[in-house]
Amino acid sequence: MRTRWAQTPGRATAVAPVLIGAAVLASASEAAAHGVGGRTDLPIGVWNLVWAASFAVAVSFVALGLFWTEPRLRPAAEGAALPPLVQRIGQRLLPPARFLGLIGLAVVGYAGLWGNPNPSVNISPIAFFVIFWVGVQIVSAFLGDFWGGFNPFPVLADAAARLRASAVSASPAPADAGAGNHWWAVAAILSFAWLELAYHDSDSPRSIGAYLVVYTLAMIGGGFVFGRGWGRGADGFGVLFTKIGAMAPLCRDRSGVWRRRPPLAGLSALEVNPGTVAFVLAVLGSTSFDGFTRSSVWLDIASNRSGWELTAVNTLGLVFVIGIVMVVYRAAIAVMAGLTGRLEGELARAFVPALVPVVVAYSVAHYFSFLVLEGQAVYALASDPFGMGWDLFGTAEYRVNYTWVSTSAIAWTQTAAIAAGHALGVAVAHDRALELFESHRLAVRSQYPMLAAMLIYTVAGLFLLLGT
Amino acid sequence: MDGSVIELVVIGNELEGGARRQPVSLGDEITVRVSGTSTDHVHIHGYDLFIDLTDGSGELTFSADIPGVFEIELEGSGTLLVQMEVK
Repeated sequence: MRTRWAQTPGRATAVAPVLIGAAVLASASEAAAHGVGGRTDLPIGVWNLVWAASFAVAVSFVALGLFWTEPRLRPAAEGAALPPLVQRIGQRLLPPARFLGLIGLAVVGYAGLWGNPNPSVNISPIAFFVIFWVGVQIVSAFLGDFWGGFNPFPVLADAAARLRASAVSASPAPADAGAGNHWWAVAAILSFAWLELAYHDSDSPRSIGAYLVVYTLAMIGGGFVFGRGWGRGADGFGVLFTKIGAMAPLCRDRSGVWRRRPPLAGLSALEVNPGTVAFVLAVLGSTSFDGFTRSSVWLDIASNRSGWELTAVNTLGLVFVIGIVMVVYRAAIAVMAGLTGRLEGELARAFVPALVPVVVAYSVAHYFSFLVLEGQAVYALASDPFGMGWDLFGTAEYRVNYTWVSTSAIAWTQTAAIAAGHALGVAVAHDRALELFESHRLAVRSQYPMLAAMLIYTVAGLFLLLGT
Repeated sequence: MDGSVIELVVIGNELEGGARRQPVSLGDEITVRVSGTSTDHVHIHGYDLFIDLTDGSGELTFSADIPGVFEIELEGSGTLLVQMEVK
């Protein structure tokens, strides 16, 4: 289910004062960019917006170089424990959350496999692609890894591991075997990206049902073979939400204590394992490809292709865009290695936390309107999840209200997300560099290639968003 | 109220002339008229409207009251027909 529509603002938003610059530029340019050719009616072009956002990123780079001279994130990463009352409430909420996660998987899976095959009246497409995939990503950036409490997949994987340990084999697989390996998660997230963005029949509840069955069985099988702890590192969704949650001001430490800390601080202590770099870049590339499919270039490529031919073309496009995103990052890292004399592999891992805010920015920019508008449908679908004509909660007649969020508010959010996400990425990278390199001078010097990569992502991200 | 017509000729799973971007004005009455040989459904995303093609043809009129870019797609085969731009 690619995003099949995008709301664009009217030109009224272009009248606001210049100071509010970027967002205003966004709204104007966006309306322009979607035009078939004529944007003569608009006072501001897409390039102005690109300049504004690039300027914002570059200015933050300079400001960081001048005023941020000591690593600040790592010392703050530990944070402070929240009051005992919060700890007690949190502890009480965990078991019902886990239960809800399993129920949710069962309901969405059942709806997919046996519910009404019409995607508009079946809860599975909206629940899976909008509420789960987009919603959990965005909420995690602010509330931390709350999904970890609901996530049914590691629970099922660990249950399979225990089953083997107790009943099948006298010698259980060692605990945490493969737990630190994120290559499984790369495979998982790519399989999802392929379903969402490449497979021609991804809207179909049957496709979603089948995918969830395969994914769940893979998690159970993996837990059985590799033992406890495998699931948490292999479940691509959980890994992504955990990485994003690290930038939030809330976290739960290893001993289960809820803590608060400054936003972004957790990224300095991000768990980076084999495969993590590829994982984050794959997510970034997937979102970019979704933007690319709304462009007029893609319109010509996909024109009159259907079925598996369309799937094949989409797959090539997806791989191509992920490849470009990876090449840009690796090139920046290679230059940085040349400047600092460090190993490329070490640097690639050290700076992957800087990409996390960019992942969130892309998701917000591409899917924010999708979430707040299409997401409303879940309110009606909850009353009739399988499309059987039920009305469990009396909400089945609810219709999506497209006027909830104005098109200019959407444009504001999109532009702010892109500019802020990249500026925060630059900030995190700067902090990592201060921690990694001996002198402030070398740290700043090492960040020129990273700045270049961030600017490329900013410009490309905006062009994809504006659909030119 | 102004109106405009989006004419689509669909032979098999293919749109004559290929997929295109079509601008329409916000608030207009839009008629999507399909002819040809397809027995698929045409889905207007965002507005979430469907046209069942019986004997290859079908027609639907609606009010373009949501601004944005919306895909009009041949639902079963996944063929993109039009990126309808409402502004």
